Amino acid sequence: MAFGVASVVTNKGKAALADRLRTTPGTYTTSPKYVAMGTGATGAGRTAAVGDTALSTEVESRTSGTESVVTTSVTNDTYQVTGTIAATATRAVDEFGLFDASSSGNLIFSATLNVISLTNGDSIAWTAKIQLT
Amino acid sequence: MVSVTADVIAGPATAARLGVPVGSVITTQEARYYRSRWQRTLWRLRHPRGGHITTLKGSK
Repeated sequence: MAFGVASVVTNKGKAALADRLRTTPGTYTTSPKYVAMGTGATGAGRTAAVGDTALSTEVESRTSGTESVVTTSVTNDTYQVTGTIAATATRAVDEFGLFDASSSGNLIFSATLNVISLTNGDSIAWTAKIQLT
Repeated sequence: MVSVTADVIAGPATAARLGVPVGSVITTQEARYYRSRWQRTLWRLRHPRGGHITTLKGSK
């Protein structure tokens, strides 16, 4: 499949949302607050899809984002994570993900983007939203 | 519905180039410019005898 711009809650993400509604989640015991970015989607010809389990080429360390619940359409209907990642080299960022761990873990939210070119020292302040509709 | 937004924040090198404070939010186009110039510099280093002549010969 050719590269395209898209953002999805993955299959793992859907399972995680359901699991975490329980009093005691069985499998997904940590929240998807770990923000990740990568540079490999264009080269891999990857468009974000529900079956994604990892980014194509993840770069830099994940950051533990700030979680909140915000309003999009109905009061408090949206889960939001914000986090900033700095580039330690020139980067052509074209993918984003929310994971439930600081390394490895489950990809809950996957996105592919038009390339954002960064030079060493630049950062991206990410804001991801999952609205329940 | 899901969405993701990316605000690009200028680091020291980009801020100096653009004449803005470090930490300023810049556009992706402003961020991209540096890479383009860097790519041109790299290209010149790899083609020390001048790429324009090579390009013209190649187009015949």
